[in-house]
Amino acid sequence: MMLLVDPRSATPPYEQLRVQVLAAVHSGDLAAGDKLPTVRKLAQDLGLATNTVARAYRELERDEVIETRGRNGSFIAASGSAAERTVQVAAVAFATKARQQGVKPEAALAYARAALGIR
Amino acid sequence: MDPVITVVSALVLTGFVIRLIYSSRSETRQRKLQAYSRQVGLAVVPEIVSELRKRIYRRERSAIFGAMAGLCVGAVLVAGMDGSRSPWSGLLLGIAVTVGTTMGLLVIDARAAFAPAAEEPRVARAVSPGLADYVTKLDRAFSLGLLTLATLGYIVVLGIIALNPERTFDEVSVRSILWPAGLLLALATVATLVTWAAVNALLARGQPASTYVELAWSDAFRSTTLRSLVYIPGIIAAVSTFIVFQSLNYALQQAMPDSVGEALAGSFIIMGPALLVILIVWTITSERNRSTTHYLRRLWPETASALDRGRLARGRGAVGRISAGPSANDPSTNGHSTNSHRADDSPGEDSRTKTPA
Repeated sequence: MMLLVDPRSATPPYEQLRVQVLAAVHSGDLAAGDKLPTVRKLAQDLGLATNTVARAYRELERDEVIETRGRNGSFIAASGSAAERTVQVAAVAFATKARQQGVKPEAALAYARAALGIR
Repeated sequence: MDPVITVVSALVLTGFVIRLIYSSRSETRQRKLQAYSRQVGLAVVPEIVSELRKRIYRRERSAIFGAMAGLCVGAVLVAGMDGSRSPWSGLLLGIAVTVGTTMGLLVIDARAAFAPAAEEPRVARAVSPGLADYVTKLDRAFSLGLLTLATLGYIVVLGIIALNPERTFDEVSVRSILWPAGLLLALATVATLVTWAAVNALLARGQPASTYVELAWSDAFRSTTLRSLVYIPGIIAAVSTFIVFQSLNYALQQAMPDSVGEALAGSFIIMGPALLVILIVWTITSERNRSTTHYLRRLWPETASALDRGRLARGRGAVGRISAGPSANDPSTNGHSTNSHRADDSPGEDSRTKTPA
């Protein structure tokens, strides 16, 4: 998932960032638990002031799209009802386990489908 | 200052200066770019070829300056300790040059994060890559494995000396055997901690890029530097192991025939070649594991697949091509990219990667 910021655009850079992260979360490109770059790193990547990136992160946090876990950094937050959030967190744990065990995404998805009774 | 160390250091320094002059020539820069392109599996794109040539030259220059600084520091340290009387001076100087070279690469890569931002669109990943995206598991395990092996070897040697079977070590200067290897072992442990900190510091630095091609090349440079960094503790640990067993071998040369000392000397002789075999096997496995293009498989999976297809068709010289990426003026992207270049993405999904060159 790539972010693109155009300094010549009429839209402020922090807004461009906010909209892209939001769109990526809605499209599923970014999932709950995904770690975002630090404010300083993203600012260096995009040639922006750290305050600009920090503002985008603050607004995303206010909208509960991301959450900051102290020194661990910022992560995409689980969204929806309490039950949906629990399942999203479990899905992240499942995906992590599948990656660690070297199971291919297609196979992991097939297991999840079978467990859900989807034929 | 020890005259032998001074003369050898001066000769090596002259060699570095000649290499520096040679690498500044435009034909050499072009050749280096082509070689590096094949090594990291990325096509040379005409739009950024001059920038790539400059960057590769700057990296080479920084690595040579680092090597020269490492040599000078190493020469002063070696001369201050044992001078040319120590048989291990050459190895210690070699380590100093290796560390200096890697530090040079680290500095130039860290400085690249502060490239001035032009008034043009910039791309960045929404999820930061980690060390596992740049360095293979085998390469990451290399240093820790060798450090563990060196520590165990040292403990075994300490145990044998403490037991002193048939009073084999009565006539041997234990201090002269243990201190150079012990010093290197401590250095390898410190180097592991320093490397860990340096790796994290480099990963936290930005990768300014206007296109996917620039970002992919930045990944390639970062991958090379990180691999050099993670090897350092392993190399120091390997030299430490080699020195401790070879020192014991030299010390026990006068052992009585059919004695325990002779058996020990025999087993210590085996350790050097055994270590050499381990290093050769690791080098071959690492090469087969395609560690130089590991970052492509993790961060640019579509390009890696295209590269593999190209290599199957045309051999090892093939390279992968990455598209320049979305334009900020392209209304179809609506100001944001839809490209996915995460390690866990399936190859071919939402691809913006073209066919290999």
